[in-house]
Amino acid sequence: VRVVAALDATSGARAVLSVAQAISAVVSADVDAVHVEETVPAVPIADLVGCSVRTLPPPIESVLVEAGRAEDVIALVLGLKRSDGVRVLGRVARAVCTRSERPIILVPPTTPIPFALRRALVPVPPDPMATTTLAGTIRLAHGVALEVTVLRVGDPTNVPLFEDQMFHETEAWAREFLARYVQLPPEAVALEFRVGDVADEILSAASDLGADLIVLGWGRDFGPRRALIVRRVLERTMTPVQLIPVLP
Amino acid sequence: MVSIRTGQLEEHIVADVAWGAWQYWLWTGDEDFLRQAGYELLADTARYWASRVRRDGEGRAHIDDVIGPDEYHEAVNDNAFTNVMARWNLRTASTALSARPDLADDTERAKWDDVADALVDNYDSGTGLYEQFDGFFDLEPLIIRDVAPRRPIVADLLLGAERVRRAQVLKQADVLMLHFMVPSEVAAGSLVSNLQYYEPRTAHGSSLSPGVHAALFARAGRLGDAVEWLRLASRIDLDDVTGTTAGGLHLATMGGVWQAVALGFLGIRAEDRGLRIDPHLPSGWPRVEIRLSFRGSRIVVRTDQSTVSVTCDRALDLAIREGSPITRVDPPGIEVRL
Repeated sequence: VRVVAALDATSGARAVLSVAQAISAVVSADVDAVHVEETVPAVPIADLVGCSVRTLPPPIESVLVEAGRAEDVIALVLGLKRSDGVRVLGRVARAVCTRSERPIILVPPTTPIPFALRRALVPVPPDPMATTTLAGTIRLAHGVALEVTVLRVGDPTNVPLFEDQMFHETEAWAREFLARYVQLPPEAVALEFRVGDVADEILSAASDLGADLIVLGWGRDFGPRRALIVRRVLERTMTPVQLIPVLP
Repeated sequence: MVSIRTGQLEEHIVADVAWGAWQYWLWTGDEDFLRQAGYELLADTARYWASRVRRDGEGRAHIDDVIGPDEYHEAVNDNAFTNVMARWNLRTASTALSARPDLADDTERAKWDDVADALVDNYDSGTGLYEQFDGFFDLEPLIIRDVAPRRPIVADLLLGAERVRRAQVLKQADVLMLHFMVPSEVAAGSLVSNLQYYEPRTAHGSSLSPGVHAALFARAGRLGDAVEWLRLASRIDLDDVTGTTAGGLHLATMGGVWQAVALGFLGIRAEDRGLRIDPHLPSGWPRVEIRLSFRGSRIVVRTDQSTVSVTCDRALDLAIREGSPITRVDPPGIEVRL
């Protein structure tokens, strides 16, 4: 199996490659470093990243989506860009994310190199069906010996009425959650509870907990008023983000 | 890892257990219980408090490093509830054990009285307020009633545990539990001022809080508020408002609902000399009937907007209304116009 690393001619390409290599090592996959040559780069990509790179002909979005459809590809790794100081999801990344059925890992250019993948943060939505979809990822991460923290963020308007015995109630909720949706024993993953703005809390939890990867489920739709949390996380994250397509 | 310190520091439970035992005796008149366990329990708990206090240079007694019923503020000094309950414990033990010099001699009982008199209770006669603990009034004056999207609410989840620790936000009744449990130990007339001050600062984040406040609002004559909190307490499991009813019923809350009706709206209280009933019925309630057992007598209390009737199957020492004298009532009972 392969992890496709889509490299461009920016300095962020090295971070993309490093993340792809770390993920490949964890899941015993090969890295397939590719570059779609819309223009001839000043420095050859292979020289930039220090490894062999397959060069593919444009158009770039279609080529990457098609590359991701191969049966042996388990994930695509793309770079996040900066524009005028604000992180933006580039045209290519946006198109590939919405059209790909494979998990996409989006890598900020500031990601440290060499990248090490040890801890994954998995924010779970209140919708149990979406949680069920993420459960496979949680089990997979646990199965490859990653430290997994499941994050549940409460909305301030949805704070519980009562909490008579915080410790016992939290533990009871965690056991029930893991047994019902993840089918893992309670000691397999850590649970983190926070209250506040969901995107803010995801980012601060990733920072506080030293997460190497944020795993988000999403509906593959960047239309108006869609994927608001995903967008806000991608705009500001300093941590690579894995988007898992969640079926509606 | 969150350290749960209530198990180590919530020492008022020592006095609460003694109070529970004393209430059992007041309601049942079970002398065997007193002889076999009650007196010893009072003596040992009083000894604990006498050994637990710290004396300052002026001879005042303090209890440091505790958690009160509020539970949002940890390791505080001179929690009013703890200190006053300890005072009640010392005084009750001293009085009750005068009949048992074999368990506590005069010298020891005199020491208990001395410690009780020296214990600070944080009451300010100028404002009519008890300060919940030393320094509470210096905390951020946050009125959770005004800033929360609704109450009840788990304030430490809404605001963060650190801010709650630094603010005048309560999880549940603390000072007010004194007015609920030991009204004779607090300053006369201080319920209304403390209810007015502390209730808006209370998040009611414990399912036990609404019932206690329903009872206190009823005793204070604020019957609209009393009904509102009673309704919430009574529907916690009926409406599954916590989403946890499938995992077990809130039995202590149910007990609180009964207490709110019996001890709050009907104002029933067991005293040394007999039973007192002081009803406060909301205008929308045509009548309330409750059955009790008091010192071997089976009692039915019925009250409507104008009368109280009490039937009993054995002679009963009874008073209707606060301040009225306790008198002997023979079966089948009496009816009193309010």
